[in-house]
Amino acid sequence: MTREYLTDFELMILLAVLRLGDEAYGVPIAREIETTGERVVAIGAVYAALERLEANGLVVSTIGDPTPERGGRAKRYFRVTPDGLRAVRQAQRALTRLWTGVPHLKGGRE
Amino acid sequence: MTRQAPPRLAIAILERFLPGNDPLIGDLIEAGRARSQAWFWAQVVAALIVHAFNAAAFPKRLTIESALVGTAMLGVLAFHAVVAARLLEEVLLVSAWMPRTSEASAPHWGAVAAFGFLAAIAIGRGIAVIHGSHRIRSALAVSTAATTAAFLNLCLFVPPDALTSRFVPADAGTHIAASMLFISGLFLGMTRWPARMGRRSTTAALCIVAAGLLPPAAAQVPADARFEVASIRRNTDTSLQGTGLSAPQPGGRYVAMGVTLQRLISDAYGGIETAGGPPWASRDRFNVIARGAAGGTPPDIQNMLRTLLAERFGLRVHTEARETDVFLLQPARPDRRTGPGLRATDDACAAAAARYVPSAAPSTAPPCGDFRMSANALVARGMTLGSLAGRLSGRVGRPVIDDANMPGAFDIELRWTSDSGLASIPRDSAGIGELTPDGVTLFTALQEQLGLRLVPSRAPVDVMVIDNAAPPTPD
Repeated sequence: MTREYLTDFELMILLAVLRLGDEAYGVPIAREIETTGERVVAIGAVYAALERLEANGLVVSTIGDPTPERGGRAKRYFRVTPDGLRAVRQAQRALTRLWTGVPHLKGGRE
Repeated sequence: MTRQAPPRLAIAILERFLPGNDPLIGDLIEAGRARSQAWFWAQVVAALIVHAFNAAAFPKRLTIESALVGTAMLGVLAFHAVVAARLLEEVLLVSAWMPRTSEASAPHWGAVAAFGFLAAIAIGRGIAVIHGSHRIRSALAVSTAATTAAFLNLCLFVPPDALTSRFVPADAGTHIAASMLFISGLFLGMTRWPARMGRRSTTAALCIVAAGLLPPAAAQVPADARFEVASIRRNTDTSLQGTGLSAPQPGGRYVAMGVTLQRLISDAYGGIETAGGPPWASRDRFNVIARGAAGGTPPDIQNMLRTLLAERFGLRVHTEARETDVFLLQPARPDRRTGPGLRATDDACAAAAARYVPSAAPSTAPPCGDFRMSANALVARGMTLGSLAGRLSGRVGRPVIDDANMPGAFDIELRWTSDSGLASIPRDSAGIGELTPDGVTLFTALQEQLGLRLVPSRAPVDVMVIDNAAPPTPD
């Protein structure tokens, strides 16, 4: 691992991959972020972030079989590595500590 | 929501610019089934942009280093490009080292070309040392920048009348050959040389280039042609018009009052037209009083004036033959009979005219070899038609070439009463108040009084191009 901290987008992607499990490839990852993260993402941006995460050893990918509905293109499935899981937990702990005791965040969401 | 097949062009673009990204393309096709083509195109553009940024910033730990190195490389390349372009322009295209003139001799040309070649090798070696594995790209950048600069210089700054056609200079072949030689030297300098000879050859080439970059003005100045005493002072009289008054004087003297540098150059180089140079060369005025050896002839004074201009103004010039609008001075009648105002001078007057040095006696009739010219008249004794053509040039505003083929000296009396067709005349010139728009023009007077005519034409005319000029050093 070459970096200590994740960007918020990388963290969202890692969480989406974890949530999707064996079905984590580009389209559902982007959809997961859009629905749960309430932000519009470009699939190209998702791939760019996934490639950075893979280069840093936080995810690994495998190529599936080509399918006709995708124009004969294969899916690329992603899986979070132990290092990736550790990075997510570290981010969770850091964020939790930061959230704790913030007066503006008490009493529910805005 | 529009359901359409994914645009083929967009997919082709992705395949071309993001090769090996089949899963991404497949994802876009899959997601695009429920989206519009606009969405698909937006995704493609985003993918290309993100990929480009990702490639530039990846890996992260090298981001800052890459940015710094890239910026430094760009700066160094830009520096090289500017230096090379300047060298190409100065050394090979416009400087006195590459004379595009009738004075240019083959040995001189060869020496200049050899110098340019060595300079290019030195630049190439510098690029190879600094840029290492990027040498080819650096060379291409330098070559392209140099060529572009030379081309822009040609298109933007060379006067149109210096070109035989819109973009092709009269000596384009020379330019192309010089450029090819320069670029060849550049690439030769960047090839991988044996380590032992690399440093020595680079040093030798740099020494040769440094020697060649020494100011060439000294080489242009004959050592023996120098005024004994010379004074050059600014003349700040703002009422002066024209180019000033100047003439060689008896006793090897040269006196000029309120003259521009262009006028001084014209005096030093036989009345030739000038071109180029800083704006003040045609604007600022000077008083010049200089004295050479007693008995100095006008040609001697000309040579001494050249030396003076080189030493005090840092003047460097070269001549170019430029195709331009001219008047040809020709006999007006088929039988070549001259008019009453043009008579062959007698032998004694012609001999006196040949050794004449002007003296200050403006109100008297001209002696043999001299002339009086006002806004509406020219009276001369012992004047050649070549000299007459030179005097007429100033009046009609374009070069006049003697095409009459009438050797010998003449006594001339020419008077006109119209300012039609004349170039601007200083408002304090004698006789200017007698000119009217409807009188006899200079062109008509030439035909009626001298039996000569001015025929519009185009011809190559030598022009003195100012390569360098600076305000004069103090006395």
